Amino acid sequence: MTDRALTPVVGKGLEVLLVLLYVASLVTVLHGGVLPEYRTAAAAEVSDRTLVTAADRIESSIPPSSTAVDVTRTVALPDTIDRATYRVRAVNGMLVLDHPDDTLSGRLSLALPDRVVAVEGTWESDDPAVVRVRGDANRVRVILA
Amino acid sequence: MRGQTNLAALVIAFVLLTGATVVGVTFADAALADADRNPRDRHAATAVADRLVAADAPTTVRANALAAAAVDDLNASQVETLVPPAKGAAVRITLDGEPVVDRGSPAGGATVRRSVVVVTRSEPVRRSINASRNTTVRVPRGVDRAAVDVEPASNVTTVRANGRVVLYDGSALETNETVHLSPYEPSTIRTGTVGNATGRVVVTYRRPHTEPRILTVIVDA
Repeated sequence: MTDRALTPVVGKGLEVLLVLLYVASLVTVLHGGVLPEYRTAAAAEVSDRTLVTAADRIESSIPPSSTAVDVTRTVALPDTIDRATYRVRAVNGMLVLDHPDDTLSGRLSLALPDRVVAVEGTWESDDPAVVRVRGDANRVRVILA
Repeated sequence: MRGQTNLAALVIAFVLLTGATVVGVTFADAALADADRNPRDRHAATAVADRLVAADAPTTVRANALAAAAVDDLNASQVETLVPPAKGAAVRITLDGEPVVDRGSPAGGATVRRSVVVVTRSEPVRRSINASRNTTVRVPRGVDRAAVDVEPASNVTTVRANGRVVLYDGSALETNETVHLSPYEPSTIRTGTVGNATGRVVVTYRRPHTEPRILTVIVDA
């Protein structure tokens, strides 16, 4: 019975095979289904909050009516959402977030006083974002730079 | 399959590991579901509250002081024009629980409260100055403007409030103007005349009455 010497080798081999199979299946399940889903959900939430935070920041940078307005404020934006850079633009009194992934893009109306005549400019997520408010008592311009 | 007891141990280990993974994923799921905050609702509600109480809003007399008449006339479309983020959302605005604007029925959504005062103006109070006898009119504290009506041919050239010239015409006033007064102290209105003053100057003002209230805004987009 020379085969008997093979028993431990076969046994260990089987164990190694099983462990590898198990780890492979676990990785497949987590990376194939669970992780991307979480990533998308978290990214959607981050995108929403980024947009709202930026809008809040712009709205709160408009000072009360005064004869000369000159305000410069920095806005903190996450560098990337879902590992991709994005842009925030002002279009027709709305704030638009442009992301390579359409489901993570979004738009939000800004609530600004009537004396704000224009909101314009673009922020790139990987550049410092600054909001500038210039104007006088009757006309105020908001520039994203 | 003698001597393969290790395999049994391995299978038990796998089962335990799988169980731990499932528990972990379940917790992660719950955490993710909890993190859903509806920032848009909050933004819209904050924007509505902020715009309604802003000093330059059509609903206020100054910052955080709502004009009772404007609040009574407030409706949902006005709120939308004033605050674009509230467009199409269910909005409920109340003052101490009394509904001001109610559109849709916000189920959930974000709630924002602001402490405000509501300013009601009294019926007009009329006081007259006898220009020929140089009498004065005392306007109480808190009144920030008054209408001054100078009768024609009364020879009044100047109207002063606490010594400050508010109306002047070197060749006799003949006007009905609204003048701004300091609300922080009582104002004494007196006239300055040239030659023989006759007739009357009528001062009309409304006394403001303020009441503290809690403004509650609920927006559900």
